[in-house]
Amino acid sequence: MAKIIKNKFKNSLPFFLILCLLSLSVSGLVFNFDISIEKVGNKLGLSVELPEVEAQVTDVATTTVTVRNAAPYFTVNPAESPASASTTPTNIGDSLTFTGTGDDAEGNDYYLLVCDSDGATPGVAGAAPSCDNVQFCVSGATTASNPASCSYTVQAWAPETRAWVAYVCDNHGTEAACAATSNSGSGDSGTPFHLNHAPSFSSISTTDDLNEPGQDFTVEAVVTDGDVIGGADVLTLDVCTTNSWATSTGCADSTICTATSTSANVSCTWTSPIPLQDDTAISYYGFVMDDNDMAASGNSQTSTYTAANATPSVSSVLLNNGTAITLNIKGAADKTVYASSTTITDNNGCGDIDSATGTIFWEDAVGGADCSADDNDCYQIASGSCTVSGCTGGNDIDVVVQCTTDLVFYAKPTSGDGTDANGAWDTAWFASIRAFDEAASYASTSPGVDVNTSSAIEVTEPEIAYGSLIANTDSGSDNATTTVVNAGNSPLDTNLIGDDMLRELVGPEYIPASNQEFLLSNFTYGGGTNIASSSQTLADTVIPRPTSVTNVEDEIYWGIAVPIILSGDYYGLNTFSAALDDNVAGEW
Amino acid sequence: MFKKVLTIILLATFVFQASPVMAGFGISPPYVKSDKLTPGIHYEQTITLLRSAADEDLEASIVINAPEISSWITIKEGNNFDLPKGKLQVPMVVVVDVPKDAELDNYKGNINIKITPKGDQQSGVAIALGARVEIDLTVSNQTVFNFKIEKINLVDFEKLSFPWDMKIFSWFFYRLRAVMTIENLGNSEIAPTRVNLEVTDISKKNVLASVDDKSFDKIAPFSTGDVEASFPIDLEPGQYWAKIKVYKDNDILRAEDRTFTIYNPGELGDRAPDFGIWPWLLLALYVFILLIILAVLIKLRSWRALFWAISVILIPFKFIFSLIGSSFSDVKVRFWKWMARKASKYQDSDREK
Repeated sequence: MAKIIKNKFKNSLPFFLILCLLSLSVSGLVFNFDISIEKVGNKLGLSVELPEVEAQVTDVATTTVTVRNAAPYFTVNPAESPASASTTPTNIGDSLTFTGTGDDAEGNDYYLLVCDSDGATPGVAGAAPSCDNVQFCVSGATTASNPASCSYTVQAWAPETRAWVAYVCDNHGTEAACAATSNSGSGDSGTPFHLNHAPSFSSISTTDDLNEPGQDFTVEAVVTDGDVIGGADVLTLDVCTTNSWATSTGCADSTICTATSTSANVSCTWTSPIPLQDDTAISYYGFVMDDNDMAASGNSQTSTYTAANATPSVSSVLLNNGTAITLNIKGAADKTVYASSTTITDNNGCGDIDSATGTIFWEDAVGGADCSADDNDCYQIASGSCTVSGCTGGNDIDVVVQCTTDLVFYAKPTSGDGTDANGAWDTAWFASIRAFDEAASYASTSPGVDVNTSSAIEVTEPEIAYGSLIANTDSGSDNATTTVVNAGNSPLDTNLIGDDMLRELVGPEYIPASNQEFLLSNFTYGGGTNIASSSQTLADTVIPRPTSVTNVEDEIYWGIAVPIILSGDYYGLNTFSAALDDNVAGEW
Repeated sequence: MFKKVLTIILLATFVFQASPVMAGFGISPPYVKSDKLTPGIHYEQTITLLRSAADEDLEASIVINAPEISSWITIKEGNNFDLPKGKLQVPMVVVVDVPKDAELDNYKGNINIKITPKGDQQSGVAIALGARVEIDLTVSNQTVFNFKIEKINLVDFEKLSFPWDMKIFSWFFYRLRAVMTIENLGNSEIAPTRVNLEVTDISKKNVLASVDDKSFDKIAPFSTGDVEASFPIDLEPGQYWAKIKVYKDNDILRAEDRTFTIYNPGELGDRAPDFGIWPWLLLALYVFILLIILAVLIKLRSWRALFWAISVILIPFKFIFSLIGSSFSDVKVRFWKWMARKASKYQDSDREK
C-alpha cells in the first residue's frame, strides 16, 4: 500500500507542482494586476488594472528611502578661452578665462571650479566650492545647462606650462556636491595652460658709435628670454627718441630703429640723419617686447649716441666764374680774381664749417694746390680773404665760399694755340678751395681757365729830347734815350711810327718823321734805323716777360737830322706800340 | 741865302707839355687767331684794351692793316672810340665776316691801336702809346664741333601752390633748371647732346630721380651763351644732391655734384622763379581745348553723346542724390504716420468722453 501510495505520490507530484505553479501564477496575476470579473452593463467583463504603489493604510507595508543630492556633471568639457597653447601662451599678468557647461539632476545652479590639481570641496549653504590645493578661479553660480566661466590672472610661474583641473559643483543648500572626478579638457584648450614670461631687459648701449652723419649706428640691447616651448620668443627692440612707448603702437614719437631677434641681445642698426651735429650726445630709449606683445621687464633702458665729425666737402669750384682772366698791366691795380664754390657742405650742418682757404695756381706750379706762393704761378689765399656765407641753419648743410686775391700783371699766361713760343699755351690756371671745420678739411679744384696773354708797354720818358740843333745838321753820336718797360705778361717787341714834326704845331714847315733814326744801342746818326710816318718799324727790343715788379726794360736810342728849315720849335709825335715777341721760348 | 740859313739856326726844342698822359698801355690777347673759319662764317673776338691809369678819357684810333682781308674785318665799337675815365679795361670786339666765296687759305695782318688824349690830338705829346694786334686767320672747309662749359648753375625753386601744383601744370613749371654757360669753340652751332640729372637724398644713398634733357637752344659759333636744361621732378621741399652730367655725343664733358633746395611756397620771395603769364596761358589753353571739344560735339549734334558723357560723369552724384531723396521720403512717411497715430488717439479719447 505504501508502495502504491508512494507510486501514486510519485506520479502525481509533477501534476501537483504544475498545479501549484499555475495557482501561484494566477494568484500573482490576480493580485498584481487586480484581475477581476466585473459586470459592465448587462455583460460580464474581465478587468485588469496596472499595479500601483499605493500605501495601504490598512493593507500595504510601509517602505522608506532617502534620496541624496546628486553631483552635477559636465555636459561641455572645460576649456581655456582662448586656448593657451605653446604658440599662443598667456602672458603672466594677463587674464586667462576658463569655460565649461554643467548640468545637475536636480536642476541646481552650479559652479565651475578650476584648480591646479585634483581635490575640490563643495561650498556650504550654496556657497562657492573651493580647491583643496591651488585654486585658479571659480565661476559664479550658473544655471544648470548654461555655460559657466571664470578668469584667472596668470601669476608668475617658473615653468612655461601649468596643469589645471576643473570641477562642477552645485549649490545645493545642504548637500552641495562636486563632480566626483575632475575634468581637464582636451586639445590646445585643455590642460595645461602655457605661460609667457616677460623678456628681461637689463641695458642698452651703442656698440657702433661715433660715426659720421648719414652712416650707420648700431645699438645692442642686453635682453634674455627663457621661453622655449613652441620655439624661442621673437624679441623686438624699439629704439625711440623719447621715453614713451606702447606694445601696441611702438614709439610715441620718432622711432630711431626697430629690430627683432630670437636670440638674446637684440641689435638694431640705423642710418643717422643728415645733418647731425658732432660731439653732441643724443639720448635714445630702448624698449623690448616679445612676439606675444609682452613688454620686457626693465623697459625702458636709455643710452646715447654721438655723431663724429664729418669732413666738409667741396665741389663746383669756379675760378673767375669759369671765364678766362685778363690781367691788368703794370702800374694799374692788380686784377682781383675770385675763386668760389656754391657747394661746400658739411653733414654736421652748415654751421660746422668754420673757414676756408684758397689757392689759385698755374697747372705746372710745383706742388699744385700746395704750391709755394709765387706771384708768377701760385697764390695762396688765407682764410681772412675767404668769405663763408649762406648758412641758414636748421637742416641746411651747404654754404657759399668766395676767396679773393689779386693777380699781378706778370702772372704766367696760358692762352694761345701753340703757334707762338709760349710753352704754357696748353696749360691752365686752377682754383682750389679748402673748407675747414674744427677738425678736418677738404679741398676741391676748379676746371681750368686761361690767363690771357697781354702785351703792354710803358715808356719811362715823357719825350724824346733831341735838344737844340742847328738846321742842316744832325745829332751825330749824341743820342736821345727812351726806356721801354714791359708792362704785360709776355715778351715784348716795340713797333715805332712817327709823325712829321710841325713848326709851332701847325706848320706848314716840318721835319719829316723819317729824319729820325733809332737803334737799341748808342749810334752815330746815319747808323740807325729810320722810322716812317706811314708804317710801323720794328724795334726788336725782345723784353722778356717780367717775373717780378722790377722793371724789365730796354732802351731805344734816337738821333735826328734837321734839314735846312726855318728856326723855331718843331713838335712831333712818335708812337710806341706794344707787340708780342712770340719767337723766343725762353723769354716767356 | 746864308743869312737865311743863319736865321734858321734852329733851337728846335721839343717841349712836350702834356706828354705824361699814359703811363702804360697794352692789349690782351695781342692777336686775333682762328684756324676754324669757314666761308660765310661770322667770327668775333674780344681784345681788351688795358691801361695802367684811368684818370682821364682817352681815345683809341684803330687802323686795320690786312690787305687781303681788310674788308672782312670791322671793329664793333668803330675805328675811333673812347676809353672812359675810370675804366682800366675796355673791350674791343673784332668782327670777322668771312665772305662765302673766300678762298681757303691762311690770312695774316695786324690791327694797330693808338691811344691819344680825347679831343687833344698831338697837343705836344711826343710819345704816344699803342699796341699791335696780330691777325692770323685760316679759312678752311673743316667743320669743328667743340665747346667748353664755363659753369653750371642750379636754380633753387619752390613748391608750387594750388592750382599750379596739379600735374597738368606742374609738369611744365615744377622743374629743376640747370643753366649752363657754354663757350662754343667750333665753327658750327652747338649744344650738349644730352644732360642727365640724377637726384639723390642728402645722404647720397637713395636715388630719387634720374632724368634727361636733350632739347636745348644752340649756341652760335665762336660765342658764349647760356643753355638751360630743365627736368620735371616730383619732390617735396627739402635739400637734395644733384649730379649733373653734360654729354657731348657719348662722352661726359662735365660732371658736377651740386646741392639744391626746394622751398615751401612763398619762402623764396623775390628769388622764386618767375613764370610770367605762362601758367595762365596754359590754363587758357586747356579751357580753350575744352570749349573746342564741346563745340565739336554740338556741331556734330552729338547731344546724346554729350548727355551720355555727362550722365556717366554724374553717376556717383546720381547715387548720392537718390539716397538723399529716398531718405527724405522715408522721413516724410514716418512723420505723417506719426501724425495719423496722434490724430486717431485724440479721436478715440473724444469718443469715450
